[in-house]
Amino acid sequence: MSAEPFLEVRDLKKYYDDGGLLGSDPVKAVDGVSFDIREGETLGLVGESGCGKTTLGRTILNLEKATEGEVVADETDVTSISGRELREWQSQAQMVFQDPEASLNERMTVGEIIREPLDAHDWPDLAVSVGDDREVSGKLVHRAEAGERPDVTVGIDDSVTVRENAPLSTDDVEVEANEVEVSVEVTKHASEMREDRVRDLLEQVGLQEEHFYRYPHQFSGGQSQRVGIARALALEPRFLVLDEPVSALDVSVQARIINLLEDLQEELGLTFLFIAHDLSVVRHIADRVAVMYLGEVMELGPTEEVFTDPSHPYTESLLSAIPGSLVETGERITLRGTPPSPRDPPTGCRFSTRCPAKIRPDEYSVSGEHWEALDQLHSVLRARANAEKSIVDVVKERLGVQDVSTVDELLLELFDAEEEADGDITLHMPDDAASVVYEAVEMARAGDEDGAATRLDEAFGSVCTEEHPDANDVGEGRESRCLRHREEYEDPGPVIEQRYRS
Amino acid sequence: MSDTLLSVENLRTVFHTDKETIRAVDGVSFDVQRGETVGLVGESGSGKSVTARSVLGLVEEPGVIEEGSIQFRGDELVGGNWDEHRGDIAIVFQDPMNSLNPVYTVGNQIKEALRIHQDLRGQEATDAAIELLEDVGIPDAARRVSEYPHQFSGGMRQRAVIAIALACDPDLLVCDEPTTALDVTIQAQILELLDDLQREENLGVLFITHDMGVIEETTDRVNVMYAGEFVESAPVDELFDNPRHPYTRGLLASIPGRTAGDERLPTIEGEVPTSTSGPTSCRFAPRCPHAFDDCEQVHPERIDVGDGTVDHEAACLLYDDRFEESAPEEKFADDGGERA
Amino acid sequence: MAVRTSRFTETLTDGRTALWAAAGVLLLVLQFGALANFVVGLGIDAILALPGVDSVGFLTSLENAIQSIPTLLSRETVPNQGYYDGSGYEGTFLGLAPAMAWALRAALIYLYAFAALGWVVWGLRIYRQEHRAADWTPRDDMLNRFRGHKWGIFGLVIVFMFVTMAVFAPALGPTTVDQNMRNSYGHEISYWDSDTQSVEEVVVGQANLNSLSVGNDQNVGLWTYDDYGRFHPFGTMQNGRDLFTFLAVGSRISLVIGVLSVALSASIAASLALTSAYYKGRIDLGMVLVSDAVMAMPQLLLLIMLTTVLRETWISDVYSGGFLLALIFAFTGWTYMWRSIRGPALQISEREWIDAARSFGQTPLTIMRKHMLPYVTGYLLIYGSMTLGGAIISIAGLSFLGLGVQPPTPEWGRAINLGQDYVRTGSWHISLIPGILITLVVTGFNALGDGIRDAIDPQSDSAGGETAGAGGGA
Repeated sequence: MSAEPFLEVRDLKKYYDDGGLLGSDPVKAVDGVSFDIREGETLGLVGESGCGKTTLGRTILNLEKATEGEVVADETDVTSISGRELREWQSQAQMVFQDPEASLNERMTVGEIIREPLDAHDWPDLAVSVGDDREVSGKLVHRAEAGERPDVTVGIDDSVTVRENAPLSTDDVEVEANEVEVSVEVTKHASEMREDRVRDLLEQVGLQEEHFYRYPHQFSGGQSQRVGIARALALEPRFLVLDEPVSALDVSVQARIINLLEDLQEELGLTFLFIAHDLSVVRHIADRVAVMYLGEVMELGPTEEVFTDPSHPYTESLLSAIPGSLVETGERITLRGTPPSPRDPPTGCRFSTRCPAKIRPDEYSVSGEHWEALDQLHSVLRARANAEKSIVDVVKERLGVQDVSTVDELLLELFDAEEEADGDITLHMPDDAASVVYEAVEMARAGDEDGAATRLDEAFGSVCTEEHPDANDVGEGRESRCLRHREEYEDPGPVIEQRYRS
Repeated sequence: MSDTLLSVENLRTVFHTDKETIRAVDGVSFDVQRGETVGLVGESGSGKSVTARSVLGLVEEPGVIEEGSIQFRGDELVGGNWDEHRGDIAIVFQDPMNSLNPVYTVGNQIKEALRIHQDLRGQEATDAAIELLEDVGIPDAARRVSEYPHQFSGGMRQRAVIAIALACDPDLLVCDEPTTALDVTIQAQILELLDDLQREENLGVLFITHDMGVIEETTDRVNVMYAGEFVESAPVDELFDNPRHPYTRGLLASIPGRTAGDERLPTIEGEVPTSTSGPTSCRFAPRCPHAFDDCEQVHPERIDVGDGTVDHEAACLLYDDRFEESAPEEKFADDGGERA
Repeated sequence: MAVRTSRFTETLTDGRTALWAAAGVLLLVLQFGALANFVVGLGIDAILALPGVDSVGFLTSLENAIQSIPTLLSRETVPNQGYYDGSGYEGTFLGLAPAMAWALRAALIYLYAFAALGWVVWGLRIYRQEHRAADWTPRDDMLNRFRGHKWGIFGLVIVFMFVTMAVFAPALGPTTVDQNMRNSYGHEISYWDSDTQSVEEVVVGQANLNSLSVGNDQNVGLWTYDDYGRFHPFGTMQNGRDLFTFLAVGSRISLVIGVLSVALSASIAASLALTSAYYKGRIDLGMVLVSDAVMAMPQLLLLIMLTTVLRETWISDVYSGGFLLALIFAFTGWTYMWRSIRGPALQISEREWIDAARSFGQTPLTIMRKHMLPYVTGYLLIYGSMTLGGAIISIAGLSFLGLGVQPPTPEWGRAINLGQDYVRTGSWHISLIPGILITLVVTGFNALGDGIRDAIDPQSDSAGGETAGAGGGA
């Protein structure tokens, strides 16, 4: 594993426009992601659904057009290439899909499926290196460029050597050389070479020759996934994006595929971007891991360190949510609520609406549960503001006929409050805090949920809801995107300990 | 009223297709007590989903329950008596988007269950529905009750499904992979919710999954299923500390993170068989690293492999005294599984 | 290359295959003349259709030369146009009565056709069992399902018989179009005159005039001989011409127009549907607008207008207006098929293997052809077969109205038109027989479409039961 970054992702953004005529908010699937991938390593990319990890993988491979930012490989920004350059990149970087049932064409035999990339790229295009400046001519061959690994080498004495894993042998090459050019004729049919390659690949992924003529649905899930892997390896790529390759498989089958992937990586010197939501798989296979939330990388670092000593509160919550005694994290922190919509991400830190270590303003002395309740109230108000309102609701709102009771019920539910005889609600909170809540509730009753949420933000928000954190360097090769890493604030770890585990 | 809610005895469910008869569940027996969570774990092809459907009376053509008895609180269900107990056994399925009807509001669907099982209507029903949504932890329940399933997130949908299940006021809850389709943090929430509900309502829960971590977390007692049969049954701690059956051990070993360090994951070779013939041998034998000759000839019976204090059974000839001579030397000492 | 040829000879020398090949050769030899005649005839028609080409001489002699090749199922080998000479039949096959001879020839034709079909199926089976590398393909399941589908098989049989009639029309009729209709005053036949008790000669045209079916008084009905000893399986028409020959030759034009318009429609529909499904977005939107616009045009009025306007042009002459009709049908009717295929095409375009193909750089055209088209073909077949039925009815309807295929080219709809005055008389056969045939053929096509749909529809498979049996797969 070299220290050379094979791939550099710089501030990559992918927004999906609704395409609506009224220009609604775009979905910010990937919103400013930067990291490196080193040659030969496995970078794990974890996160929950909707965090943008699949979109990120696809954008790197140019399956999606990046909105902003760049992905640099071999000094080229692969997000802005097309035509021949793009095909070059595509033969170097391939994808293994999650569901083998869906990603393999049911009407094609396995042999045809694996062969297709070869046909699409007019494989092989053998690189011939000659000692001097002579031209190289012939079908299926081209002159090896600088830095390109030659498949056929023509020596000064016109002797021919062929690379070890090349799809042909020296018998299949006929060279006619004069002073000006070297004419190389390949007597083996391209078709035959491709078939041989497919059989080699089948063997490499652990399938048998007779599987060549079978159809995908005659296979089990694990075997189908092997076919998918073989297809991805057909063009001899250097880089594989694996999008949840084992999620659809049973545990025992999963283990075999993981072993296979590791073997292949070692044998072929591959670099992996391993996207998964299963943390234990990532822990096993990845050298470094990036944790994504709502389109951003929250934490990045060597796997074992991130897992045993997480820096970011989200990572910690994620790890503690894993069922079973697999990961020693002490008592579980159950995250409240659901991830916000990527269409309307929170201001400031994206994780602020659910963060167990959120920085709380000093002015109010409110109990821990009530802080959480305030967060929930805020979420609910935001959800209401964004909810699709039926026509009846809109009319009611305009006419000022609000369902007053529902807002009150909300307070009762969240704050463990009591309803007085006259209908007023008493919150067991210090007056200054309570008055803000009453104000917000008033606004909500009048139909202005957005304003209510903003009011809560103004009072109870902190730097977490105002500022967007940068990626802080928190140790050897580790970074974490949390405001608490600043000098003036306590680190997330101890805060979580104190709030939930003591 | 006894504490045994569900008693399954020698259940056999088969599927008659044109080509063959598939014995999806082949002689399975277990109980579920009130207040207990019984887990059923296995991979695809093990027959665990079919077991759940058999218990619920949801097996359809070409499947049929051929043999065995399923007793709910003493009443025999096999033979078509499920309708009487529909309210007492509730179901939570894997994919909430498929369990919820997209053209009706969530509240409507809860009220439907309330109407059928508790005979509530009108405003009473609406209030009960709101309360149920609150019970399952959906914030702003009063507003949510008139929303449609597509307006709910995945975790909330599953909560709504649980609310519908509770609307039946059940004694037994059957959960078929309820959290498999959910993110891990949402899964944690749902598991916590199920735990709370079970305690509050004193429910019996039959929990089916393929995720060993969830089993460890949620269940009291575990049954490991392979090719239509139970190969091991034990209290959950016992199973994870001392797995006896080679399949269980293989399964536990192949979970990444359980074997220390960076080693290759140990695997179980071969594929899960589809059982078409009766049990005449051990179905795991072709893949078992400890198989010996008798394994191909004799069908293993459930044998007590606990140390006397726990009810731990495994169906493996390695523990059958009759084959002590021919079995390989090594048996598993008490250091069985490794818990990280 | 050497590998290929040796494999080829290896294939042929395998026992079963050799037998099959020999049978094929036999079938071919029996009918080579007719086959050549058919092919050459089409070619000549095509050449004559080109504007400005008028020379007939060379082509006619070529036609005659081809016709002189002996074939089994021709009117020369099994003739039926003989006459009674007082003691027996002269000029018919084996001296049989003309009715018997004709029936024999018709039976032989159909026998041969079904034998040829059987030969093809046999060949497919041999290929599947012995020579195909894959031991199972998805198509096998479909064919198996179709085989068990009774209604579909019924449809297939009807359609096949219809096609046979169209293909063998010159040999199938008791007489020929040339002799009986086009050039009736240029031919003479012999007949037994019961008045004079001797063999007389008469011009066919004159014979026709005396064999009219115009009501109860004067009628030559089903399966009868007319006064001149000529056999008419379906009777004569109101102008004395043989109805069966008229219908047999008319079937050709119905089939050709139908197939042409459906094939053209399908090609247009398929290419547009695949393109709009692949690119989606604005292209799809544009396509929808275009198809809506085309669908909004009243097809019948457009047809009438175009046939009238283009009457004088060369297009109108090809096949007596049939070609023009086919084109108009195709260009106004593709929208129906496009609509039906757009749904499945969009569904397919969402599948992950399309994504996978894009990820390794497959060109859009190849993706559409390889990864989307096979899934859409089934639907094309279904809607195509049903549209074909519809096309046949439309053409018949138009000819009935006088707008479709112009005389003297025979066409079923026109026969109905010509006989409509006599429906309540003894000459009901002129209108009703073609009507029944149309109904039968269209039903056959619809049944075939049904059968194909059930065959390719995976829901009707027992696969559902198997997955359930496998534990419901977590």
